[in-house]
Parts: sequence; structure tokens; C-alpha cells
Amino acid sequence: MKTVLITGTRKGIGKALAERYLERGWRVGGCSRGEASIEHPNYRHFSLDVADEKGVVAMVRALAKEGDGIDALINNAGIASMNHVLLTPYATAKDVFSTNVFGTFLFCREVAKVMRKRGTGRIVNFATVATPLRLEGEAMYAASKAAVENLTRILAREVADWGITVNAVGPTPVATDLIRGVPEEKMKALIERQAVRRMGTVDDILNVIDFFLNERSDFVTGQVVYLGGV
Amino acid sequence: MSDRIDKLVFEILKAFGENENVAGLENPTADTPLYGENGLLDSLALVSLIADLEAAIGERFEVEVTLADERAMSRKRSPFRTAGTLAEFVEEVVAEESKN
Repeated sequence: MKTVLITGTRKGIGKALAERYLERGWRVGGCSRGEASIEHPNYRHFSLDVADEKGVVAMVRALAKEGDGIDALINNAGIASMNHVLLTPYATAKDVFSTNVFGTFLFCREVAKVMRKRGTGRIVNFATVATPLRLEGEAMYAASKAAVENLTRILAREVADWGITVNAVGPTPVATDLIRGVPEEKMKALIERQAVRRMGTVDDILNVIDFFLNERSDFVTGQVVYLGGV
Repeated sequence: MSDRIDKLVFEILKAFGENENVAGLENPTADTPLYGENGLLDSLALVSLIADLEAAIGERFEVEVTLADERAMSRKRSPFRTAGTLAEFVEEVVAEESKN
């Protein structure tokens, strides 16, 4: 049975991805700050903050020990901050970086240690179209994801010798809590900038992840794939 | 405890030397140079060794440690210089972690 670790599985895209992999017969290790919202014999939940080093280390090692290692890591957990830079509190900026950048870093680091032993592994990080589109009102969010992109590209080089690939998917807006506070006209204007003008779906994201996770994709690493033709 | 940690560190070093074909690690002693001047390991090998040690410590002593922490990285004299300094450093980290 294959094992995937997905962060941020309590709701939204993370939960939907976890459910898809469970349906496919994978063992799924998930986490969120709160309790689990998925009940399944092959699902194991860890309540933690992704930026808490000790919690991440314990989760990764426990999950690897319980099964036969970890085949894939999907760093989905993320928070957004939709605000003008001049109105963004420092605490918010730090929270965004803690979850999006440091959380992704910690999971990459710990899971790569586990994957290294088997000489194979797939890591998928989450980017966003907000970075290439330079979306006003999303400076800290886009900046944090720009950091994730570079982390992805450099880590890909650092772990390539161990058969681990590291890529990122950059979704367009998908109807989840993350974008709940965005006014409708803003969302419309954003979608107008895509080549394919519609909201994204979980299946759009899953399709890219499936490609990255495919055994035949061992020659694909350090790539960022944006959806919607951005 | 310290004897058991020493033993584990040298055991892992030996196994690592065999698996990764590192000449000079067949019978490591406290003075065996690891990383830095005359070190037997390059940076990538050090990364692998540290990860092996962390996993082994977790299994043997049931404490989850991160060896490449601020203490290790900020020291003037790296704890990864020789097998002896590495064993001392591991003892320190495990003792610290066991307290928590």
C-alpha cells in the first residue's frame, strides 16, 4: 500500500485530495491544527501546526515507521492574507510565512530524509497564480509562494541523487475558504487574466499532482505548473 | 547512557562507511576525521550520515532529535569534525531531548 502525506487536510483542497487518495487505496497521513474531519481506516490524523518543528518531526517519523516509508508528500497547507501592504499587520505577514514557507520547508526536510533511504520519492508543493500575476492585495501571500517556488527548484537539485523529485502546482482560485473573503468583481477580474477563464477545481489540481506522482515522471523535477494558462 | 550512545554512533559510522564505500571508516575511533580538514566525508555524505543517525537514535532511544540544529551550526568548532566530537554532540542533544 502506498503512503502519501498531505498537509492541511481538515478542509478545502487538502481534504478533497486526501479523500481521493483514500478512494484509490492509498494510506494517507494528514494534519491540521484541529481535529480530523476524515474518518477512514487508512487515514491517520495528526493535530499540529505545520511550523512546529517538533510536531512535524514526530509526525513524519511516526508515519514512516507505521508503514513502509512515505511515497509522496503534498504540501497543501497554506494561509492567505488579502490586504493592501500598508494595511497588513506584521503578525499576519509572519503567520503567512510560517505556514506557507517554513511549514513547507520542515515537511520537505523531514520527508526527504525518509525518502532518501528508499532512493525514490515525490514531493509536490503548492504555488499560486498570484505570484506570476503580481496580484495587488496579495503581496505577502504571493511573496511567500514565490519563496516556495525557489525552495522547490533548489531542493529538487539537492535531492535528485536520491531519486526524489520536487515540483509545484500553481492553482488558480478554487472555491474554498481561502478565497471566501475576496469580492466577486475582484475574482472576476482575476479570472479574466487567465487563458482559460473559469474557476479551478480539485480535479484540475489532482491531474497535475497525478502527473508529478506518476512513476514515469522521474525525469520531471524542479518544475512549477500553473493552471488556467497563467 | 553515554556508552550506549557512543556505541551507536560508531556502529552507524561503520555501517555508513560500508554502505557508501567511504575508505577509512572501517574501524572508526574518536580521532577519525569526518568533516572539514582531512575529513572523510563530503557535504552530501554528511547530510546522509546525519539523517541515518537521527533515524537510528529515534529507533534505539525513542527520542526524536534533529542534529543539524542551531547549536551545531553556530558553533565555532563544528561537532561534525571527528567521530569523537560527533558522539559527544549526540550525547548532548539526546540528554537535552530526554529532559523535555
